[in-house]
Amino acid sequence: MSKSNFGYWKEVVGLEEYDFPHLIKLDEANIRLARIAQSRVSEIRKAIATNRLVDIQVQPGWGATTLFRYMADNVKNNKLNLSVLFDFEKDNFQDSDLSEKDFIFQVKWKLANGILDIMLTHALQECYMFEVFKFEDTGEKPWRAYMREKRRELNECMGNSKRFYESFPFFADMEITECVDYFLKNFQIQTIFMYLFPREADEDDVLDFTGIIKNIFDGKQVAPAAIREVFFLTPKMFQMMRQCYERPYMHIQYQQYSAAEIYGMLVNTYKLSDNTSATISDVFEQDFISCVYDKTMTLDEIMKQVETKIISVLECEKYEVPYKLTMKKYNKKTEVENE
Amino acid sequence: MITNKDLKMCNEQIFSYSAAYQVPFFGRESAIEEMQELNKNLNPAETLVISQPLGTGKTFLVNYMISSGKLEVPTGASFLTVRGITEEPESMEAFPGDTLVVDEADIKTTAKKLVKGLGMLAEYLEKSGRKAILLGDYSLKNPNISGELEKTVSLMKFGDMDKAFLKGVLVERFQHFLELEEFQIEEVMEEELLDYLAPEWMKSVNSFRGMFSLLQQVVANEKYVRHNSEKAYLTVEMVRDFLCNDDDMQLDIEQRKFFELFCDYMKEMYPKGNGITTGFKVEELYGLAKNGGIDKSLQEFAEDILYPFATADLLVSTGVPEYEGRGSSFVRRPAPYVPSLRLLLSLM
Repeated sequence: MSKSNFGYWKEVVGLEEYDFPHLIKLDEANIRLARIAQSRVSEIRKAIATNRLVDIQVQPGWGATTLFRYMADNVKNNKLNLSVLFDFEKDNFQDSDLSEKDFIFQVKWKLANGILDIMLTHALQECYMFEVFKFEDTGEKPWRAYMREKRRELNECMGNSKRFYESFPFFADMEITECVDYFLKNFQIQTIFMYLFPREADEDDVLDFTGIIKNIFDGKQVAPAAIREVFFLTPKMFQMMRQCYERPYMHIQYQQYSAAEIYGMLVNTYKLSDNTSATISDVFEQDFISCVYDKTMTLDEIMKQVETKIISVLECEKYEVPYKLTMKKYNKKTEVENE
Repeated sequence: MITNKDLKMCNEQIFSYSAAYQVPFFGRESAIEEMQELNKNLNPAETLVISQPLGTGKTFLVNYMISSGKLEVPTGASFLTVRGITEEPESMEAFPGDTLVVDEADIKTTAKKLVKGLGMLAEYLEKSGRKAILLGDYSLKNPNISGELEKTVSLMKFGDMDKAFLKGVLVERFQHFLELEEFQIEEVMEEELLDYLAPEWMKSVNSFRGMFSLLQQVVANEKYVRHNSEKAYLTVEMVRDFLCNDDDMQLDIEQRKFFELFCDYMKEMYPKGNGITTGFKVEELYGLAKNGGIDKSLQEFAEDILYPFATADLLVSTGVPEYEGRGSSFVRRPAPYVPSLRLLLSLM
């Protein structure tokens, strides 16, 4: 009965389309709905601004993916930066058998893609822009038209390294570190590499990747401001990586969200379909989260417990289901009033 | 007087751990001499092997020798890697000069790729008659990994990183980057810190990269070195505080129990690490665990406790990585183990 009461309650308040109270998975399109305290964001931004290498250690199941997407969006919109993003969770890190050659191609493609976008929207020093994309000013085609053509070409060679290097010889001739150095020196653009690692990965895969980035970046003479590397991963995975390739990272032990923060996430992401001015806080109490909150669980596990708790307090007649859910048990028959 | 500001401004250079900055080269005279001799006498298809732990300065040494003309390898050529050879075998042919330089023959590469890559290298050298200089860690001492490379000579006098060597390196760098004529390292660093950074029993496995990364992090941290004109002075306590607050160790209940047992054992038997010689074997540590009430088999103890300790930088492996062949696991960090700097400092 209480499960069906829960379904009924969701209809009443306008949440019937959602899997409430489970946290909504946010993707690139709606990442700005993410509710992350500004102090946390500022800590990360400050670390990136002042350190070449930053590791953000997030406990498994505590929102690394959302944080990665949020910070990627944040970094892109705050300053003239070029972000190169690798979401290894989405791209099946362990199944891909990533080769160094492939990785270098992917990086260069993303560099080309990112710098092209910037050139279309910002005024930069012309001769260097022309050099990157080998523009010949013969009067036949204006620069912007040329760039739109290059954009089409770039999309067409997304998976084709041979074609990419033929069409974009600047990236064929330069190493990755030379490219980012060029962008800083001539455009004042800093390149930020951001990597999201999956929660679980084989040591072989992590160390293979570590070897690849060492070979690409280690010992290369590049201006300190040209590049930033930001790693989003679990503490265990970071240890694995650092053990084999020690570098002076700025560590951020990303503290697990509090019950209040989790509640804030629900408030920010769920919209009551029937009432545009009301929020979750008008129909649901934080106490449901506070009473089950346990750092040893993952966020998903906590929200499963919240759902169980909700259902347990709705062990009542349908007419007794309230509009605003509180921890109070609604059962006139047994007159149980306490949580 | 060297101020905090001076130190912070030159932090990345003084404590540079890679070839990103041009730093003065110090020491390794015996290694250089031996390498030149071995290289001069290398026969066709032969490989000069430098097998030393990660971060001890192998690449740095070879780079220095090439740039100063002590090795006949064209300058500016990017070293090959074992992984790269498996992905692009044609890169061996494209490498300029008579002698290939192959790096990264170590635990960062999977055992399968190491075996394959070294096999391909051996085959190529045999066919072409060219020679090679091969840099890697103790994986190269495992015949199941490097067995196909039959014609090898090994560099024996690489040199350890003891306290005197560390001091020499630091003095050179401080003098160079801060343009000092006379300088004693004790002006900026507590003597005891040097003792902890380069103890005698760690000298064969001590990592430049690890040590200098650590010092860079401490100096960059405002908690320990603020951007002001006060006298710069690095102490053991700063490094201890940094390392021991650095990470949550992520130990489970039994791991934590063993950690406490091991710390008590160290305090009693090897205060500050004094007395450690060859490192602890698995059986020895297992005995300690059993006596302390940890109920696991030897195999379980090694997999569930020791290996994670090595990954978490609480123990440093000094053994040869284990690999029995195709299908077997690659044990990257086997015994014997010595305590890491982090563990030692946490005993203070």
